[in-house]
Amino acid sequence: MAKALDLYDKEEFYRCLQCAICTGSCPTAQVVDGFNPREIILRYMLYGEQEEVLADEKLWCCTTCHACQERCPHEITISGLLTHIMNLAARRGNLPRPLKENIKLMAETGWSVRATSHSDRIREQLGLKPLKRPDAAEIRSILCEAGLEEILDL
Amino acid sequence: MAGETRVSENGGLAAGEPRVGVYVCHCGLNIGGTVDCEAVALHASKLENVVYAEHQLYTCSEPGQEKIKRDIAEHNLNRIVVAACSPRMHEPTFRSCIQAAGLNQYLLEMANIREHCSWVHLHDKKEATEKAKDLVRMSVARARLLEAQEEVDIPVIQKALVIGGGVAGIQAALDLADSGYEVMLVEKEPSIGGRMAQIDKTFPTMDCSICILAPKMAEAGRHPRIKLMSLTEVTNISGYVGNFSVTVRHRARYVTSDCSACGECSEVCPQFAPNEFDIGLATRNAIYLPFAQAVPATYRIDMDLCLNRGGVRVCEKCVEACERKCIDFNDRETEESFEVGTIVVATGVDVFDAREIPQYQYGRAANVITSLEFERMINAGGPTGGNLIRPLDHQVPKSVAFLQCIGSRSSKTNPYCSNVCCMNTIKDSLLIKEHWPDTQITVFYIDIRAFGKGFEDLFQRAKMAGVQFIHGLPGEIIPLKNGNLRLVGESTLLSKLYDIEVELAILSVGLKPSTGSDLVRRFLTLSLTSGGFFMVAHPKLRPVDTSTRGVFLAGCAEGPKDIKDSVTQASAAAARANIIMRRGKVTVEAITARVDAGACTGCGACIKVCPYQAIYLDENKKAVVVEAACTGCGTCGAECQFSAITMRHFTDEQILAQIDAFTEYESDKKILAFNCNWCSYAGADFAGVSRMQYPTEVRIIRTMCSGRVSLRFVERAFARGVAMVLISGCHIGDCHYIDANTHTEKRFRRLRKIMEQNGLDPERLQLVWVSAAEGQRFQEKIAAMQSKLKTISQEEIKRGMKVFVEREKKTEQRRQKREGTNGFSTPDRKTKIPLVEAGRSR
Repeated sequence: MAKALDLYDKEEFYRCLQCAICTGSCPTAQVVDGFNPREIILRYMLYGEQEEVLADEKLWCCTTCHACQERCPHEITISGLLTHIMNLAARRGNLPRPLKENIKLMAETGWSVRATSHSDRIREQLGLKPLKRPDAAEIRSILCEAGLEEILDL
Repeated sequence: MAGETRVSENGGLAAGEPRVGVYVCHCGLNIGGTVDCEAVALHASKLENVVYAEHQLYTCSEPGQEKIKRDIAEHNLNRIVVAACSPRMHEPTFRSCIQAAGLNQYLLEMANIREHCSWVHLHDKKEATEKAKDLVRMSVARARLLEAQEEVDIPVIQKALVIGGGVAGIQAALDLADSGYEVMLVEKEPSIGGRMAQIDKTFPTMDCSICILAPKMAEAGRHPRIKLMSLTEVTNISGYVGNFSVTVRHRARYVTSDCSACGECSEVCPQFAPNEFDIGLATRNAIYLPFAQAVPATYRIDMDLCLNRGGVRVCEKCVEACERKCIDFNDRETEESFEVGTIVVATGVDVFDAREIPQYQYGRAANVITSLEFERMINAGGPTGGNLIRPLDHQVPKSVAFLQCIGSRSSKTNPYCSNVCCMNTIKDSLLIKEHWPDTQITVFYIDIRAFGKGFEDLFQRAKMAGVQFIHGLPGEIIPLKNGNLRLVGESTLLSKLYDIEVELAILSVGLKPSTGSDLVRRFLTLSLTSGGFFMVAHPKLRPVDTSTRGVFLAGCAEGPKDIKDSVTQASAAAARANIIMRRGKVTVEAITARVDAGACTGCGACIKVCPYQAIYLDENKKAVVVEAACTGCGTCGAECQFSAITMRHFTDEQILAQIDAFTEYESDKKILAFNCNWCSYAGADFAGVSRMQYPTEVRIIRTMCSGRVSLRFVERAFARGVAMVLISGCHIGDCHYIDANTHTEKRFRRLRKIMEQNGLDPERLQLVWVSAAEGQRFQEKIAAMQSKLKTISQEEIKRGMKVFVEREKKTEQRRQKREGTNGFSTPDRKTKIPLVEAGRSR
């Protein structure tokens, strides 16, 4: 958390006018009730509610599409901050279960979507070649290198 | 105790020798609470040429001033040093005091022992007292070399130029003309009137804009002392206060002033183009009057559109229609030159181009318009006859959205608030409600700024009328097939998303400086603020003056403002110009540069650095200073390699004497700072007023501009064993002498390089830009320098002394050689280098 304040110049966020163009531009906000980039900046950077923000699972709904940042009149690095907050939240253990399983699957199989015997059959019926299994060990080492080992039991 | 006096009778001074009186002020406890004023007065009494020294409770009080006057007579004093507050505070007071006692006002010197000493070292009485002694000693050293100066008067031409014929320019021209001066009013468009002529109603009174403007326009048009020049642009301005030479270019109108504006010509003209006045919402002919109330009420031909362009006569319809025979295809562009004494710049604004924000679809979705387009539409004389219609299908919209801050308050476009858009939108929303009460109006805003008189009332009225205000701008506007617009965004007050469909969206576009203003800026060497508007001499106390004397600002050229503020500022500018012209002369402060023709080699270095082009070479290849144009920044004096330029009242000798006096004690543990009068000295004053505590090691020498700081001064300081030197000025772009501080930066780099080459620590020389509001920045800089100071070894200081004493010697030898060959001698310019041991203690 202290790290976020180091990485992101707080002064940059003081420029925020609360114009709400970020939230108005956010495709996630349209579908996820309560996901609000403007509020995250306000609470995390300006009101000092870091703990609460880091514990909020809705953080993970950000798709990092950068629409907020592109349209921000003051070019505040909103998606940059959100990504960083997600990293910190993960280290705190705030990583939603489906995402955790997804990462584990990646480490095990090299795929984030499991290839099942059913999917193999469909491919066969469609006349497609069977999928080549990726080198899971290599992907696992990349994930470990990225620090996911410290967060998850890979 | 305060009030006690201590006299030192320094007898034996020859006649004509300086006889200095020193007055140390307690300022109640402001100084006396921290500084031992008696000890300071005692220290002063022992200094060379000091014949009288005392300490007083309040030197600026009536009794304090009377005492100085009496002492001048009694002790035959001819130099006065007052150790008190900042000279920016009381220098004028004491100048008039000694003047009343028969001394020339330039024989006063002040030591700033309050803002620069007692207030910033509240908790270190011992060191504060030592510092006060140093400051007084430095002042006495300078005072001994002060010379009486006579201020000169230069005549002023009793004529004014007003650039820009908007409401501000019109007001300034009328005020000046009514005061009895001839006014040249220059307007680049075919008619005066400016932006105000385009607006339908004014806020907060809802007056008809053109109805209140047209009489003023007409008055300006027929005023016997106003020479109105439309379709005219300024092409050159040179000169200085009271004596500006102006050249203008009149574009061809092709219609003579006999035109009665009957309009017969326009009716037969076959050519059409979008009408600029209606922002392209209507058409005009090739021969046209921009709008009904135009002044001058003379048609013009747009030759780019006319069929006869290029001199080929293929169409004579207008000529045939014109009964008064006013059409003249032989009209040509002409130039005219004239001289004026003062100039009012009222170049106005353009509006922000909303196409720069693509998500709001301006220029792509027909039903997205700007606030200025709305003004033309809602105007009864406008293209739609006052009907608000959707451009796509000409239907009256049942729902309208206003979007605020378009192009304003953004680091991508205009960083500033455009000042008028909030109230303009509120006014516009009421206008719609007035004509079509059932229209649903939604205003999307970031903040509503209703700060002026009557503004809040109007805001409340709009809410009462049912206008809905939503905090939070849409992320985007999505055009729908039926021409309607979908606005998607967040209402922050509810933390809820909205998704609203409207029939018309109005973008409340911000204001930006007029495109033509840059040329005027270059002619008049004006400075700009960060938003690109002209900068005033002081934002609070000189709000219409510029840093160029005789040039004043009015209206939006200075910054976005509403009509009332523009008119107020215009009248103020006229009044300020009037002061100069009424006196018929301007007094130049006697701090200007003087050239010693004997020493001048005609190298032209001074001409290159002068920000005011106040220096030229005469027929004998000697530099000559135009006194009226010189502002005394001293950049030329610092640049001259041959000591041929004397900056009056801030001479090399005076400043070197200050340095020498400073270095008498413990200079190896001290910092010498050069602060410019306008920003960094004021910034240090501000630190004092705000009681920002910083280390006691620093002593400040005031110069008018950091550009005055000659390398010679810094070299002398290092030669005398000063540990660190700080040069401090206004931020680049904020220099009160246009760009003189860019030369400061160059010299700073040059000397650092020299230090490096000689194996010295270049960090001993520091540069910092401090604005008058940045006391904290100054405080932090001194604190940082003190940390550095501790790491500077005695060896380093001694090495520095050796290097710079050698350099000074070489310079001196070169000078003597040159003078020997030239046959000139200038005995008064002595550069004796008194060698002192570094680290001599008190």
